[in-house]
Amino acid sequence: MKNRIRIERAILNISQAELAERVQVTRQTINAIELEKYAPSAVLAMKIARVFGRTVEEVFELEEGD
Amino acid sequence: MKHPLLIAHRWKTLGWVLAVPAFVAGLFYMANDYSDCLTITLPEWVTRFMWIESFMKNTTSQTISVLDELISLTLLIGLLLLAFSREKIEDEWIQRVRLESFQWAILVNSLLLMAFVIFTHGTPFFAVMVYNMFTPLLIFVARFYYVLYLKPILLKN
Repeated sequence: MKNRIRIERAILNISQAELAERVQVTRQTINAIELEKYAPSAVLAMKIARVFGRTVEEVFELEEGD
Repeated sequence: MKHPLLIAHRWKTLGWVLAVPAFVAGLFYMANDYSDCLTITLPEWVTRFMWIESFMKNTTSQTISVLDELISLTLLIGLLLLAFSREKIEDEWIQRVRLESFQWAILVNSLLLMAFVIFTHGTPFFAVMVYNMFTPLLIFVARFYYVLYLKPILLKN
């Protein structure tokens, strides 16, 4: 699953640690999601999208094979 | 997220304090003969309730070393505390790393055991069995903490 977290973070000018704190996960989790090594649960995806003021589909995108 | 099998994060420190010295002591114990250290004498009635060599039963008393029991229990308790204590923030990714690490531990341990079953015979296999009491938890702890703490540092450099 592709995502625009790095871009959205840059727009909001927040670090991985700040985003992690806002959605109550570890910084490593945000890093793993950003690097597309881990697909978050629906709940976490919604929390992340809410921080950026976007819908889930605007932040996360399914890839072929997902 | 509730994790009924996990204990509080604060137990992790005690886990390290118990596991590391016991691991080192265990290696020394396997390499040397400490069978005369820390001996206790068991009364005859106690030996009746223990699963021990038959020639040791029904004697008036029995002197045994409890050093190996002490090291084994300390190491097992330490490793269990490390394996089952929560991270400060126990989120879904850490849960996945935890699950993968348990899977790795069982897989690697089974493959190692199969190799030792094939290539080890007689008394040396007893040593394999002794190590095998601890390897599932040791592999789990090594993999879990490597992915969580060491790998990010190595990737950064």
